[in-house]
Amino acid sequence: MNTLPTELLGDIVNEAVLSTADLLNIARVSRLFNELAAARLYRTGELSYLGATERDTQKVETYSRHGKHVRTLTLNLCPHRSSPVTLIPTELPRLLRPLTNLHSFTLLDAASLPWPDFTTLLAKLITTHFALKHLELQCSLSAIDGTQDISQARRILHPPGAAATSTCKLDSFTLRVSAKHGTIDRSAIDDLIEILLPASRSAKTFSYSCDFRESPPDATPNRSRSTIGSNTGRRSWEWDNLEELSLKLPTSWTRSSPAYGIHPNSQTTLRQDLHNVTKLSIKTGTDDLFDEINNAFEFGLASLPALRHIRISQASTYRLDWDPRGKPNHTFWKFARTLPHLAFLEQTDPYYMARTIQTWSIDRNKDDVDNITFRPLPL
Amino acid sequence: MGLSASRQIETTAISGHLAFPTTAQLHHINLPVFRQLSTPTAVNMTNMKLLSSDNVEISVEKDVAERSVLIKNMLEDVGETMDAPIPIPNVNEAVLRKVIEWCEHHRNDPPPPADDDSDSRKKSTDIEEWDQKFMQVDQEMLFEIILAANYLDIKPLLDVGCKTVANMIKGKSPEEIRKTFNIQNDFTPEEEDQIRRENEWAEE
Repeated sequence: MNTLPTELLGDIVNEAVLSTADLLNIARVSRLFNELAAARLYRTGELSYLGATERDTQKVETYSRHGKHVRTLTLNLCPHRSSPVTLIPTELPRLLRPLTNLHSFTLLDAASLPWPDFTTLLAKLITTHFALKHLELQCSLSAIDGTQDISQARRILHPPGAAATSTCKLDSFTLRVSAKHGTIDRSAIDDLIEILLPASRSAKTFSYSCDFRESPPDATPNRSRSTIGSNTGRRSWEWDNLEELSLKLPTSWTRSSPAYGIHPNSQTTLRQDLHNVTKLSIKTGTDDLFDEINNAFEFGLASLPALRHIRISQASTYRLDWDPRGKPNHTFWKFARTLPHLAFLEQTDPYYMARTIQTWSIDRNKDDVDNITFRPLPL
Repeated sequence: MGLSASRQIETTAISGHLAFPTTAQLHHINLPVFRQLSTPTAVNMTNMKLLSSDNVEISVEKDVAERSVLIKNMLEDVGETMDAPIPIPNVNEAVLRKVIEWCEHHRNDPPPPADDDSDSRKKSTDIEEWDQKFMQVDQEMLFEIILAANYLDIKPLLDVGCKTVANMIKGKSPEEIRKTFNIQNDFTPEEEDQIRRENEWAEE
């Protein structure tokens, strides 16, 4: 036996010592080598669709050709004078269709697709890519987003006279929205919920970030509605078994809202099915978190009874006394009393959010619920 | 007796190679020793024997042999230890001795983490100096060691082997790779040209 063991060639090609340049050479050795090199070359990619350069276009075409190997993809929808936005809705499915094993997808809508096209694209994505487990959407909403007809997307999910179309079942879902005008239009979020819910409700982790507060549902303007599906204008995300919730909210979130977003009586999109959440990561203003007048955050916590771990990132400069030991009126004590399973409170650096600056372990006396001990853990 | 018994073992082809006998198959061998193993009086020995594909018995310490996950799992399933040679049907004596040499040198290495997957192992590009010297063998032996490591489920050795071959590929042109590993170019010139063009985006 003096030939390369072909059954282990895949392992060999995956060795980190081989660079992209090596893989390009390997791809030209033989058909078998080409297949194995392609599996690594196209496993993960970042594309600028309809991008500014010819190279972008070539790259997109090549990824599409090797679609079965693509597992993780970040797609940046860019407008360009030679490839206008109007072409994207028709051409993008052509790229996505061959990506049959797509597992993780990040879509950055820098092109600001027309709202009906954007929702249609999402509907096509979740009804055709059944291996998809991780979805991240980043979009910037304009004033008219959420006010237009999305019946085409609805028809994909609910074909007239037929059963609902099957969708992928996500493990994690991330939604990052920004607003071009003042507020995030609640109708746009309602549309996203309506279209994505069949796929997103299975997620165990949900990350939501927005840079403006959502408009209240009552402010939803009259809009043209399809007879297919329904939209009450008061939707919220629903979850089968959500375990981790990560929120990055604007500092004006609670001041401008009747209560904190996850308050059970609030009318925001985050109010339902939170009973299995064990970990909450939240970044917002300290005032919003610990406002003594409306105690919004504490009320919100009541809808998260299984919470074991809170990770707090302050977004404002206001400083709280962060040492709760021996201070039963301290906010952390209120958290601990409200949440019977809370075991860890973590605080991150407001600037370097990945850096933990403080972690408290919470020990309880089973016989005396008020007998709580905060113990600092080494970082 | 062990030799004739090993020939009675039914083997199955997996990826073109003979498969290791399963525990159930071992139990069905008409050998007194396997019946003895099922009794609580089985003797705990630190040495055991492996039988190569060319019918050579090689004595090896149990903890060395257990660097092979395949052998370790089999011993756990069958019992504490066994005094009949364990047949290794697709590894010849020379290769088996090399594999045992590697296992003896690495006998005290910590076991790889339970969640260790192939990707995390592949992130490291370093090969220990001893391993580099160990892998300085002719190409045929190198490939045989890799296949044996795969068959016996010795992931760290498999990884060292794959890294060694990857280092042989690194920096070579397609033609040089073909020449090194005696591979036939089955592309037409047009196909090769098309591949070059479609991958231009990735070239620096």
